[in-house]
Amino acid sequence: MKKEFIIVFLVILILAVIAFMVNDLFFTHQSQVNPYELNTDSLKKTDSHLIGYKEISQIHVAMDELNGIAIDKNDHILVAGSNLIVYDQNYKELQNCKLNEVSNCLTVSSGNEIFLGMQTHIEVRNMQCKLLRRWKCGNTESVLTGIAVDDENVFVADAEARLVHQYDLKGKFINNMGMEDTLKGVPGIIIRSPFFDVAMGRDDEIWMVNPGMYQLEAFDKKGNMKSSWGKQSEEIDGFCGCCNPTHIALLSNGSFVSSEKAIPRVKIYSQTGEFQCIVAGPNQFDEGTKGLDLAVDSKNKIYVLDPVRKQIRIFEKK
Amino acid sequence: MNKIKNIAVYLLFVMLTLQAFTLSAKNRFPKPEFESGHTQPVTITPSPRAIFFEYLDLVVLLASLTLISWFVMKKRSRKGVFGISVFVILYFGFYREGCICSIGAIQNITLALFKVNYTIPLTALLFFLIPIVYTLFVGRTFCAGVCPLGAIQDIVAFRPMPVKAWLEKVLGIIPFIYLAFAILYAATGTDFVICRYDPFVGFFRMDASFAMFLIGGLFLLIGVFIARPYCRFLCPYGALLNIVSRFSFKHMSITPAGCINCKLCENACPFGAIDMPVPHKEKEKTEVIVRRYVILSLVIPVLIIAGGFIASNFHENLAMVHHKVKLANEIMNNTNYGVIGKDAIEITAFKSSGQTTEQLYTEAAAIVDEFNTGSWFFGGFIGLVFGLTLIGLTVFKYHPDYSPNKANCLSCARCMKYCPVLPEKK
Repeated sequence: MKKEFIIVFLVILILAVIAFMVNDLFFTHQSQVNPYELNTDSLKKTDSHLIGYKEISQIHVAMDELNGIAIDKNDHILVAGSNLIVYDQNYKELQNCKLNEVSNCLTVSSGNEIFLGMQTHIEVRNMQCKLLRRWKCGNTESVLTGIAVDDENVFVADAEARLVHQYDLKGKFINNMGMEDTLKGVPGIIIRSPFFDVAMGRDDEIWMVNPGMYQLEAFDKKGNMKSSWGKQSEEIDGFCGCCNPTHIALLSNGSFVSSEKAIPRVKIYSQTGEFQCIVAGPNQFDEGTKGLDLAVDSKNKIYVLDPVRKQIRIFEKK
Repeated sequence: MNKIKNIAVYLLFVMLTLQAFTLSAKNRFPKPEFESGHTQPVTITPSPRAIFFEYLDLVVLLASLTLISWFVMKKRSRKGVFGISVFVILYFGFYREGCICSIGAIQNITLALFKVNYTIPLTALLFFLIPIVYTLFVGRTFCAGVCPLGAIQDIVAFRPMPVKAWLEKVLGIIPFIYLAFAILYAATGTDFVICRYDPFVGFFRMDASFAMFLIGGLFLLIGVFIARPYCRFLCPYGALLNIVSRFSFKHMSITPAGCINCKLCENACPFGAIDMPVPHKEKEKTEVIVRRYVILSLVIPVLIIAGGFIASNFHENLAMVHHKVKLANEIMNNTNYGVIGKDAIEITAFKSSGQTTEQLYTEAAAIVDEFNTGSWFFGGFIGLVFGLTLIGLTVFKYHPDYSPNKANCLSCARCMKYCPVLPEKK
């Protein structure tokens, strides 16, 4: 009798399991919870004590597409995109010329030559927008996203090739840098979105972002890696998301200004990569803002190009 | 026995060492870490394997099947079967994480037959066919210990109790119904329900929903008293092998020589798969048998048609499991999967796909049409199973010995040790 009871109970249990499976297949709504959804609300909150800058002004830029910003030795502000616009120190427009194709990035040399990174070539113009020379850069698939210049060389970040191409000022190719070389400890540039910036350091070193590795890397002109800093973290002192930072600039004391996407924010790091303060937090940008190019003037004011609001936003230390 | 154990251990060691090659691969990107408490969901299917390893799985399957068949048919060794079972749990279970699997391969075969754009992997095809071929020659030795799902249940059958024959028959119909469901849903590209409701794969992968862990645990718990409940009352591949095994050229026998009707093996089978001797006097007259067959031959078509008719009336309900039909239904009725305040994920995904609702409705209507046709076959098949079960219940096969039922016997070799008869000397 006892055995029979156990059998009956277990058979009922089997039928209950089958009933559960049938119910699950036919009558249960599909799960509405997206298991892959990452809630980033907490990351968008900024500790006000960490904000070390205040926004002092904005310049509205009348341009269809704006991608790059640079500042010359006279603190003239240059913006490139579908146009090339030059503003003076008082934000008065000095030049505005339509470009033949959209420029992704720009820089300006000490000789006041403007170097524009187009899709696959470099254009050099003077302050009056006159085209001085141009040369092909990379290959037909190249996406030039960052450019830096010193007295001898132009460094062009190619997001497609994941390399920085080095040229002389006339466009003669010299070298590539940033390619993976495990023997020399170069990890290689990892890019998962078309943001790859390059900037000149104080000691003639070339700083480039490695967004997939969440770090900045410095190279000498021979392509040897000199140093790197940065870490992946959801804390404010690190870089998070798929690939950050997107853009960098250097202050006069060698500190770094970085901008990020996904959680749009601008931060300051010391010369050795320690987090210093926030320039602008996510709540100061519109949802979905990305591609915040940066520039710094002689007074260490930070210029952030906001492509969503189509503004140059100027920040000054508190 | 020790030799077999050693071989199994060495083999497993070699497999794990080979696997280490893939484990040593370096991540191209560092895996993001989330300090906010967000946990990344673990993918539920094992990573794809290099083709070499897929063929290695085939070799292991062939070797295991050959070895276990040899243990059952020649050596008559329950210990050998047990050893293979342990190895299979380790290899096809925990190491291969329950995939690839002959049971699930039914769906790959079906999908390949009905959807021209699906190409079945050769290994999946062979994993489906090889056990069937072996069954055709030596009975269900695959079920004995080469199937990891069967093996894991087999080793927990500590206190098996007999189930009434009528109950066994009734519950034994369920695997055929499950098989029909699996084929219908695979043929229409709806879902692989066998994989979705595999109760033990969660243990093998150490990852499953709580409900599936619970179901797996329940099956193992039930399996302590009712041996191999999944194999006997659910397994759709077992249903196929049940049919094939009836026509097997050879099959294991309880006794190595002539049965002496000592009755020692009568309760030896935990699956109730031993046919008792039928006394000669119970043998029916030929005209009675003929009359019954005539009646049943008329009943079966009726059952098939009735089954098809009933199922076809529910084809829309059956089709609702298909995600596109479900989506079309939710959009048409504006029910948004019961989500309030924002679009359900499925609706968001649909909107971002760029497809129009008219296109979706057209696709859904075509799928429902497929279900209309498929449900006739589905219902007809179930009607046929009921009919044949009915015939099976009414037929008395005269046999004077205790013998394994070729359809239900899982060739586990437990009964052999109960037989006192010694093998005939050659």
